[in-house]
Amino acid sequence: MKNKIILLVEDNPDDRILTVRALKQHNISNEIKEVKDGQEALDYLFGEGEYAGRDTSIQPQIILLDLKLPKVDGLEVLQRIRADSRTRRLPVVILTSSNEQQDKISSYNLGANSYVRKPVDFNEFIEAARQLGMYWLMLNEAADD
Amino acid sequence: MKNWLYRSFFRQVSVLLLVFSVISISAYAIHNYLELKRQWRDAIRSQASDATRLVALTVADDLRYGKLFELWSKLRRVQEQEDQGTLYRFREITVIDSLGNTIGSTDPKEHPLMQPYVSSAWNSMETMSGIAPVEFGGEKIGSVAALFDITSFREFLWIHLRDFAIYLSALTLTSVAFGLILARWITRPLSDIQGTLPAMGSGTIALPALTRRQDEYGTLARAIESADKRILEDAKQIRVQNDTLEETVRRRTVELSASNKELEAFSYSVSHDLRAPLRAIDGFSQALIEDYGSKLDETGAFYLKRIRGGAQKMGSLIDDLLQLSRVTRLEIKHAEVDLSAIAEKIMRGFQNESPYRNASIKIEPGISATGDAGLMQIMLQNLLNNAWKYTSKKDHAIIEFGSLKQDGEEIHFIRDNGAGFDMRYASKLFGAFQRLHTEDEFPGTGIGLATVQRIINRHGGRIWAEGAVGEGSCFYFVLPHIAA
Repeated sequence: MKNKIILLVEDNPDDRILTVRALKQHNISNEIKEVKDGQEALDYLFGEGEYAGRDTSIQPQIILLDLKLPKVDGLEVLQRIRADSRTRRLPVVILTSSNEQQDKISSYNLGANSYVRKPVDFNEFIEAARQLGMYWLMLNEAADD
Repeated sequence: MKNWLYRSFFRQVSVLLLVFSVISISAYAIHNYLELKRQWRDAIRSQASDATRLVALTVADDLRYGKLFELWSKLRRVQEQEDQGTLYRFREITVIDSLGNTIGSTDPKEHPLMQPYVSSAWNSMETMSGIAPVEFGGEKIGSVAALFDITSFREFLWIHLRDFAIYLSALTLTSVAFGLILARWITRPLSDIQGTLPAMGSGTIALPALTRRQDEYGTLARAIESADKRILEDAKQIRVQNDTLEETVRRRTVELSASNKELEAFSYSVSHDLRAPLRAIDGFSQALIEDYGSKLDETGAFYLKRIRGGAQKMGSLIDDLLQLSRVTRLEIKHAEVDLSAIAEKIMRGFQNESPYRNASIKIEPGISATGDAGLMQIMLQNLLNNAWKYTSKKDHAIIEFGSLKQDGEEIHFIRDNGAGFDMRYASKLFGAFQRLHTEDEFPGTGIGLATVQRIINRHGGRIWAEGAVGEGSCFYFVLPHIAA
C-alpha cells in the first residue's frame, strides 16, 4: 500500500482538490501525496529540505506534474527527475491546461511519459496509466483491501 | 574589318576622309582631263581643217590646169614639212577630181579615201582626217582629203595627265594627312576622357589639360571631374545611410523579436492562467451536480448548467483567440499541401461525431496548394466546421469542396446549402467577434473566419464569400503559387 503513492505536483488548490476528487471518485485508493511547487516536489523525491530524512527508497508509483509551477517549473523538475539515478525510471505524466505545442515537444524531449488534461480528465488518466502498464496496480487496490 | 573599323572613332574618321578625298579628287581629275581633251581636240580639229583648206587653195590651179606633177610635189612638200609647234602632222594627202578619180596622193598605195568625208573626223588618238573642197572660179572641181598624224598630241595629253596625276596624288596625300591630324586632334581628348572613366566615382579624376579649354571638351572635362567628385560624395552618403538603415533594421528586429517573445509569453500566460479559474468554476459546478445534485431543485440544477455553459464558452473563446494569435506569429513553412486529403480527413471526423446526420460530402480529389501544412489544416478546419455547423438544421446537407480556373488563377471553394447569410453583411464576415447568427441559432465565438482570413493573408492570398439567407454560402479562396 505505502509504496504505491501518487505524487501530485500542482500549485493551484482548485486543481488539486478537483484532481484528488476525480481520482477518489473513480476508486483509485492509492495514497496521493500533494506538493505545491517544484522545489517541494524535488525535496520530497530526494529527501531534502522539509523532507530531510525521508526514506528515499520509497518512491511514488507515478508523478502527476504540472508544468507551470512557482520556484522551480515543471520542465526543470522533470529534467532533475531524469538526471538522478533514484528517480530516472519513475513514470511522469504531465498535467496540461493548454494545447501549446511547444510545451508538449519540450516535455517529451525531456522524457515525459504521457499527457493528461487538467484537472485530471479521468479517461485520459486511465489511458495513460494503461500505457504505462500500471492500470492494475492502481485500480485493483480497492478489491485487495 | 567591320569590328576593326567600329572600335575606334579615329579609324572611322580616317577611312571616311581617305575615301572622300580619293573620290572627290579623282572626280575632279577625270573631269579636268576630259575637258582638256575636248578643248584641245576642237582646237586641233579647227587647225587641221584650216590646213586642209589651205592645201585645197594651193592645189586649185594645178588641178584646174592639169599640172599634176606640180600638184604632187606640192603635196609632198606639205607632207614632209617638219611641222613646228603644231600637235598634228600630215600623214597622207590625196586630191581627187569631181569625178572621184585620184589625181595625186602621197600614199604610195594610192588607196581610195574614206567616203563620204565629213569636213573633219576624229578617228582615234593616232589619226584625224580632214576634207576640203577644191574650188576654181566658184565651182567645185575636186576635193582634198588629208589624214593627220596626232600622236604628238597624244603624247602631249599623256604628259599633261601624268603631271596632273602627280599633282593630285600630292594633294590627296596632303589632305589625308591633314585630315588624319585633324581627326587625331578631335579624337585624342575623347580617348583621354574615356581613359579616366573606369576611375569614375573615386574622386581622383584630373584632366588639367582639358579643363583649361573653353570649348566643348573643356565643358565635358569639367563636367566629368565634378561628376566624379559628386559620385564619391554620394557613395559616402549612401554608405552612411546604409549603415544607419542596417542599424535601424537590426534594432527593429530586436524590438520585434522582443515583442514577439512578449506576445508568446502573454499567450502562454493567457492559456494557463485564464483557464485555471475557469477550470475551478466548471469543475466545482460539476462536483456540485454530481455530489449534491439530489439536494438541488430544478432551477438550481439549471443555474449550475448555465454556469458550466458559460465557463465552457469562455474556454472555447480562449482557445480560439489563442489560435488566432498563434496563426499570426507562427513562422510559415511553405510546402505543397494536399488540401483534398486534409478536407477528407476533417469531414470524416465530423461524420464520426454525428453519424446520424444526412449529409452529402463532395470533395474534389487532388486539390493542392503551396502553404504551411499546419495553417492550411486550421483554415480548412474552420471553413468546413462552419459548413458543417450551418447545415445542421437542413434535412439534407450538401457540402462541397472544389476548385475552378478563372483568368489563369486557381480558385478553391467550399460551398454549403446551410443557413447562408445576407450579402449586405458580407463585409463583417471576417472580422473578429463579428457574428451574423445568435448563439441560440448557431453557437460560435466569431473568431473562426478571422483566423481563416489571417491565414490566407499571411500566404498572400485572397478570400471572399457569397451567400443567400436560407440557401447556403460559398467561400472562395486563392493561394498564390510560391516555390516551396
